[in-house]
Amino acid sequence: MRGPIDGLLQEAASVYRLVQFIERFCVEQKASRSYVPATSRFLGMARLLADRTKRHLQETAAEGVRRAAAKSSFTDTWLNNERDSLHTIKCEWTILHRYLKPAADAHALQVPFSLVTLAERQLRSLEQMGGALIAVLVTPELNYFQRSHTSLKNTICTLGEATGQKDIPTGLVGFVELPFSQGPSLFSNVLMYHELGHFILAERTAVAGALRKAASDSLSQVYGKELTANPKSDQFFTRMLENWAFEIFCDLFAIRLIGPAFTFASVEMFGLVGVLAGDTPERFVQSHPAPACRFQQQLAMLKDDGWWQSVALLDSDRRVQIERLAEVPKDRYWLSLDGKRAQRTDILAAFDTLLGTVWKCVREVTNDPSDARQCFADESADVQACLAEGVVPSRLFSARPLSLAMPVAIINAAFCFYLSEQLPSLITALADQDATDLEHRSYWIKRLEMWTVKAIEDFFLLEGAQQYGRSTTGGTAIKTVKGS
Amino acid sequence: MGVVRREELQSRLLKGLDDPQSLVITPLLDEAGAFDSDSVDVRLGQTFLLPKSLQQPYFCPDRKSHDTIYVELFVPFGRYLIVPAHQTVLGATLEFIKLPRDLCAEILTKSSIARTFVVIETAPWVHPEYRGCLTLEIANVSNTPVLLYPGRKIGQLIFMHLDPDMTRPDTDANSPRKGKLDPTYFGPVYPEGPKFKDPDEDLAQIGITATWTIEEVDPDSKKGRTETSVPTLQRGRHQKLLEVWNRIHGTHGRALTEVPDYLLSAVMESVYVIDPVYDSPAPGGLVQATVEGPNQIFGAGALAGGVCKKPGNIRLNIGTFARLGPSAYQSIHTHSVIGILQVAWALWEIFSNQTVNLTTQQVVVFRAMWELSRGERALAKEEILGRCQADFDSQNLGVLAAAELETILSDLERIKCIKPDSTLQTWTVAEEITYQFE
Repeated sequence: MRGPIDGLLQEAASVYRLVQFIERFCVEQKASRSYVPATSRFLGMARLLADRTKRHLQETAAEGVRRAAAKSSFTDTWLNNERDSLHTIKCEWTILHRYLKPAADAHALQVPFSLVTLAERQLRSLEQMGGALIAVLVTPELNYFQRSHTSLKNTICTLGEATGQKDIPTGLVGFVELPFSQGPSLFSNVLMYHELGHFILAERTAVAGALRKAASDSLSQVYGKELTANPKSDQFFTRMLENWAFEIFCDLFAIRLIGPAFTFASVEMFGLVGVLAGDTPERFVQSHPAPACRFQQQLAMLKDDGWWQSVALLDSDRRVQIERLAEVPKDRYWLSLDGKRAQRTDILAAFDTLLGTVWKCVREVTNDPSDARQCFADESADVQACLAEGVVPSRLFSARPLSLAMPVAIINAAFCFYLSEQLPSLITALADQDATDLEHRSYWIKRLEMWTVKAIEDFFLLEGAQQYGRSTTGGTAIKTVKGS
Repeated sequence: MGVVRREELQSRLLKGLDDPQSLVITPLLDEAGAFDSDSVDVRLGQTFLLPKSLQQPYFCPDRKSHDTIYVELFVPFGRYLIVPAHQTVLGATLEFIKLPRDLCAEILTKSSIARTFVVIETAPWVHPEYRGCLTLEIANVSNTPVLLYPGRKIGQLIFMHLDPDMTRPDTDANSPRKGKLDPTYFGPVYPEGPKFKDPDEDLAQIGITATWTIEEVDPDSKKGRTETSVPTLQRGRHQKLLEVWNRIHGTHGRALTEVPDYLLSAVMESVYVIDPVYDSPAPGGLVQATVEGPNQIFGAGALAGGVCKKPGNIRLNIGTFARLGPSAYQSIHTHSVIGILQVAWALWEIFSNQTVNLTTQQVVVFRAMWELSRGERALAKEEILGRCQADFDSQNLGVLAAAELETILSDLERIKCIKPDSTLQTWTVAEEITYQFE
């Protein structure tokens, strides 16, 4: 005869099966593919959680059977507690379930491995971000996202607690989602730096708090007493200002880490998703500031950091487009609410007043990019000369101490090569290749990205060899020859 | 042609890219250990191409091949790839090299690696001006699985001087490639599969052109009989047949040879035609053609699928042909006795099909049904009637009465050209047709 214990066993078995499937999936994926360390760690942690969840479920079932046999201790209270616990476990695994497939799909051949490594290294050099890792997920959207690490951490902790385990290591991991179509492409994936900005905001709560306060203050300044007249509306607009401030923060954060390559990638992506047509560039929406405003801020930061002077003469439509967007007068900005043009210039004015705080926060959390900028100014021509010859530019790493500035400089130089006339020149220099043939052009852009990625990979290898005390290209052996 | 010494290599590494003697090898992770007096050691990269099992029991080196025969695999430093005994894999050197115009090179398996019965090169020669990581054809010819670690030394490069006469740039003003680099294997940084043209394209370059001969008689031409060769450079049988179709209907402004649409469709959809010959301008007079079916599968020989002789006799068994392809392949693949018997039965069916004479009315109705339905949908009597009226007029066959259509349909059904549905209200063109065209 079926009793309450059967119901419990049934429910536990169904959760057990779910967890078992997920565990097997994680094991299979990890065994057959390579991942960036954080993704690998995430899959490993899911496996560990699965193992512990299964053990917990077994123990619960055994306890239930024991209590049922004893009858006296099989109380409704115990049963309800266990059912609640099962429910929690199920819910948390449902959340994890959402993350695991995109993470498993983001194997090493599907993501810009060396760019992620570079970004991770840059992140770790920032205050309070030592030990940070970046886990990559792929998304079906043609956009870049950051998944809240905090909520995932909460899920893992809740699951740990529900299964009686309190030592699940979560670490400082940023979850960045890349569009599956961009795969290992280098140029467009530079946009993930923006998402790292969101990761910083999630981790450095004081910075996010400062931006929130600035948003609220600026609204107060513009509105005065009206601010408190309609709390619901105030809350809405404050939240909107926060969103815009966060977005600008992330853009500028990305600029500080990766330089103008981010702006070039942004203009390409914005063009691709169609937000640079008509009057859309001037349109603010609830979640994002107007693209024109974003480019205006990015350009200002690039000029302020001294980057733009080095690319100002770049013969490229993209550069002109960026400058044109940045020059759009502020009075042409407009706000779209519920799909309609809202007459709220006051909100836009309030936003203008909080930009100073955004800049201050960005400078506070990032390092001075002058090394990278200088390296770019010094080496860009040589990098581009290598690329024009179809040569991986890692040969340029000289005997001087290697620094993270070098890969940043190489990425920017390669981006300039890609945007300028140099790419068509390279194509034309090859037999039977036509720069106006899109198939050919696309093939050589891919090659260009491969050379750049290889240069970054080589940088890390050379750095390791240098730290280990081995000489590197252009190093001692060659110097001896030079001396003799 | 002398081997280049270490000192010269190192000196060339220092030269700028614009120097014609410049040599690039990057990254050199351990320079002191990399150079021997006459060679440079190279390491294994992290990306591999593993050959995969193919759906068909052979590999055809053509344009599509490099997308279909490999699975890409990334093995990070610190991990390893296991190459089973007697298996092969494509890898690449970690080092990217660029050779100047006056040097060529050869890559050899490092002797210590070779002594484990692993070879890394079957195409060891590196041409002057090559740039890229070198793709390695790694074969484990030993009887035990071998572990390959990315980052470890695997081969050695030996550089050689070229005869100065050979290093002059291409100055032929008429050459379309004058002064240009060959893009075929330009700048790879990971292992890359082969890049083939289609066999027809390659052979055409040395004058071997597979063609169909089309003999045509143009009544307006004083030349009388003309013979045209149609090259078979197109990549699929459909394109080939389309080309024939265009020859017939396009080039001469009017059809010299009438090929009924439905027959051409049948041919294009189901069988492979070789050597079609068009030799009669008369309407309906068609063809001498060999219909190649099973002999594609079993190899050329006596098993031709059917031979169509002029004037206008054509014998097809479309459904049997269509089914024969996959089932025959499956049988070969699985060594299934039953499967092979089924194939044999299908072949017998093809050869034993008897032709049936149709009346002109039956031909017109059948053709109309084929054109209307393409064998894919059922047709009602009214629809067939409507479609046939014009044809009957044009063929001076008078008016097609509903009762007469009923009889024709019944006849066509009896010889299995069409199939009725269970209510006898609609008909579909039969999958299998044995048909003699008069």
